Amino acid sequence: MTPPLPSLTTFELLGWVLVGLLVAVVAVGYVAVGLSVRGKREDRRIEAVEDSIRTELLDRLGRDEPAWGTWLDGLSRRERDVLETQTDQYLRLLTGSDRDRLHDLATRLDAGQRIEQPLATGDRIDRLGALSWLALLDHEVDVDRLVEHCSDDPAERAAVGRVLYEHREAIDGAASIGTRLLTSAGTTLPMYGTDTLFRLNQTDPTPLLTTCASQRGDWTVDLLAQALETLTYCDPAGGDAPIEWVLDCLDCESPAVREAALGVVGTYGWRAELREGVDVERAVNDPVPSVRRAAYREFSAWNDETVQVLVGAAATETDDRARLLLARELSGRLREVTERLPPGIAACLDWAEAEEAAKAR
Amino acid sequence: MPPHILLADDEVQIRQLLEFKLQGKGFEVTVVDDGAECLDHLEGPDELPDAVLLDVMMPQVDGFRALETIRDTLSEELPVIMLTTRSREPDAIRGLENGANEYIEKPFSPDEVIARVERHLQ
Amino acid sequence: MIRAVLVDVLGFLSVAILVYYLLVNGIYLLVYSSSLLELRTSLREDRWEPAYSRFSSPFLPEVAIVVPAYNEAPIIADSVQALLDLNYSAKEIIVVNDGSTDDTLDVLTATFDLEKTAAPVPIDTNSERVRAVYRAPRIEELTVIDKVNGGKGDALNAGVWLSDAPLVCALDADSLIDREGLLKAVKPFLRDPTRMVATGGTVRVANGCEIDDSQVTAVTTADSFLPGVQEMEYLRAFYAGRLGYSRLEGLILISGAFGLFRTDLVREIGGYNPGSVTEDFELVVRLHRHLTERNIPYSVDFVPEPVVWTQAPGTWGALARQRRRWFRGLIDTLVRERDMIGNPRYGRPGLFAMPAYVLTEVLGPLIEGFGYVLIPLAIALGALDAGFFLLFLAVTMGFGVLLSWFGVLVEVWGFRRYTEPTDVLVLLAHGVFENMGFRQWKAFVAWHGLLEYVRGDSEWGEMTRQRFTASEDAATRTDEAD
Repeated sequence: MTPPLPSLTTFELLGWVLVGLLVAVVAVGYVAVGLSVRGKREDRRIEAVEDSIRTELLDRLGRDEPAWGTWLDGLSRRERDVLETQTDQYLRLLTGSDRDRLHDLATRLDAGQRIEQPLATGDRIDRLGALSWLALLDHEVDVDRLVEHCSDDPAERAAVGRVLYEHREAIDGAASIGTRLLTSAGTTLPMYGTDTLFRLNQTDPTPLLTTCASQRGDWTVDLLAQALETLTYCDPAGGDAPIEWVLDCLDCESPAVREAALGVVGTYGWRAELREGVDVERAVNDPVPSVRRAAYREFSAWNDETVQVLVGAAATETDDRARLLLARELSGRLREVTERLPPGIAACLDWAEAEEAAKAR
Repeated sequence: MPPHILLADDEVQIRQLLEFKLQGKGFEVTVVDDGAECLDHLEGPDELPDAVLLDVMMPQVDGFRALETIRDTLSEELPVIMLTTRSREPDAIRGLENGANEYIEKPFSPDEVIARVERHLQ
Repeated sequence: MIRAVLVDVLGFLSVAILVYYLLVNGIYLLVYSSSLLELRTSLREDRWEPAYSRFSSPFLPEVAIVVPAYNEAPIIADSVQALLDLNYSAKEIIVVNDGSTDDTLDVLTATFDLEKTAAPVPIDTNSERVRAVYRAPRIEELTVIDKVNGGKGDALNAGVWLSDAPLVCALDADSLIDREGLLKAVKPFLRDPTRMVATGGTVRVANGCEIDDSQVTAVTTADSFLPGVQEMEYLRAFYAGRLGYSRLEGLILISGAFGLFRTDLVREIGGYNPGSVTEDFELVVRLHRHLTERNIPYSVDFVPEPVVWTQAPGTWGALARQRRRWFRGLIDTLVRERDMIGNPRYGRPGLFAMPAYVLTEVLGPLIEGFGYVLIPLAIALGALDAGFFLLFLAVTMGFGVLLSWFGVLVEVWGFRRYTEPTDVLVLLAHGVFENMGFRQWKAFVAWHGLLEYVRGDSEWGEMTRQRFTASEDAATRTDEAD
């Protein structure tokens, strides 16, 4: 009996598939090896010029008159690329007169021109690259143009905010414009965004406090929590910045917001309207352990009356991490107040004291 | 004889820049790229340098531990200037508590670093 | 009569296998083309560097690196030093001595001047009993937990529960982590702080590399065949596999050798399952279940840059043991979470990734092994044409080689850690051997693993107390080939 021969078409089909596969395999292998060879050659060429470019760069950086122009005219394409990379590295490392001279150099390099072009183009990565250069250089900044072209995406808004921060001395109201821009979409910020928001408001968070007070209704709870957290890192604002709205956040449905709001209450505990408006009992009885922990952390530095509330809470606290935090924050005061501590909190206290003792050694 | 500076930093750009600048000012510079090498050099047979520039975040032995070893076993007077990208307060406090003479944050101005080194050499 | 029935059955099975191959290779094509897209996006994104210093930001999340250690005395001090050297300013290193019977704890105590905290741990660590916690007065980042042996998952739990850091990184004691690796793995969390719940890094084989102070300093191919072919296998699994699954929002496996997770979520789902032999896979599948069931928007990302280097087993025996364990763990998890498979309620992981894993990772090697027995029989009985079979075999192997070489192409295009073109040629050669010989061997190992799984079902008690040993866990999971 002859085996049932598959029809010729199946046979042929498989054959063609095999041919196709072989072509694809050869192509993939060829490209892989080709890229590897080309990459290695390029590496070697870059290595060959790197050291001499760096030496020359550092040498000219030390002169009062670096004469960048005459040097740049004599450089090849590759040498200019290497120089651009090194300039970018040093711009991030240096301040002072060296940085000023680097600004001058960067402007003469292609980077200077690249800042201008991509802002209007559709490519997001090119725009982000240009904004990074712009933040590092002392180029003139057209704020309206930046905001118009680069505010579609969270990373771009952060990058524009960073430009505003770096040029804050030349731009009126940089902190306010930046704060409004960063929070304009009402959604979560990347870390580049939160850090920029922080830098813009670091020494005076009035813009952030004002924006939160009026705009927070349009934000997601995640952004509100981020804004509150940012406020805890900033220096406290002066007496007339709006702050009462933080009390509303303590009633928010989101535990992350309540937790962050408690942090702000801690930072602004010296403002009577906040201190007197806080319901300490309610905060330490919050159903979510992380919120209770925040309450313990912030209130343990307050007056005796609040501390009494915390000592009371210690007796009933069920979350072991929260108990440990209380024991660390209150330590000796817990022992003073109560003779018979519940076993859970007593164990935490023993632990906290053992840690302290080890640290002291 | 020119003053001798030991420079310990794992970032190649900073090493090259400061070495270049310090040499330009007439210092003799020894460069190492991690904390263990830094201590090896200090504990070696050569005389102690006149000042140490010490990065905080370095492989093997970080700047704080190197500083503690220097203060505990080598010299209480040797000027040590810490360089770091960290800017959170506890780090500055820890550096100064452990006996760093200066604590400079990156990004920094090389001229300022040199001025501070010179101040401690006087 | 019997012969006629047999011929019919064999003929039917041959067609079934053919259909299966078409389906599976369709999945591979989809995943691999997604890999290319993802790589392109990722490389473009890397061309841009934000103009700020992450390390001086108060928003940089603290990461607790948890290292379970069972009898790791020879390597533990170097591993810990390498972790202390990581370029990341907000980290905490928690070594968990999981009841080692060698002097792991003594080595740690002597090297880092550890001091015992003189009180019992006051919090529930969701693990076997913690005997003591040690701290290093001069190295604030370091904590050592000494606990009763409970297996790798149990040791990880102790670290996860003791830490206060918002992110936790699980790391094998003998993995070599790139100095910049932690920052690379954290970056997705910085980009999307509220949605990102886990990231996994690319694991590479370290056997041929030059290593200095626990850092890979020069990348070359391994000298011997077995590590060499695994090197190739890892490149394919990560670059042609997980990269694509990540693009398709269906990444369901993050290697135990290196994974980064949101601490609160890991605790919420009860942590690692100490009874699982592949606790890494199990954890990620349960994470997906937890989040999709609650309709919480989230993201699990794959980091294509090489983050961690691992020593691949050097003998066939050790490798077979490792792969049998992976296979058992894979089946175990998929069986336990079977209601997710194909269930639209569980989003892309349920609808696509898990069925794809069943077809490619579980059934793949089993059917392949079956075919190697069945098809010669069919030919002998005259149910199948030998020429046709050979052609079919050539096509499947050709496809396999294409996928392997594709992994090499991604490495060269995106990362070029192998700087020498000769090493690339060696990798390509290993890509051929991987599909002619190694893959067939793995099919056999998979059947053996299945047998063990079936047997292990009745011996569950032994499975729940699975110890992890240095030799077997020396390498991480890769996705199985076909």
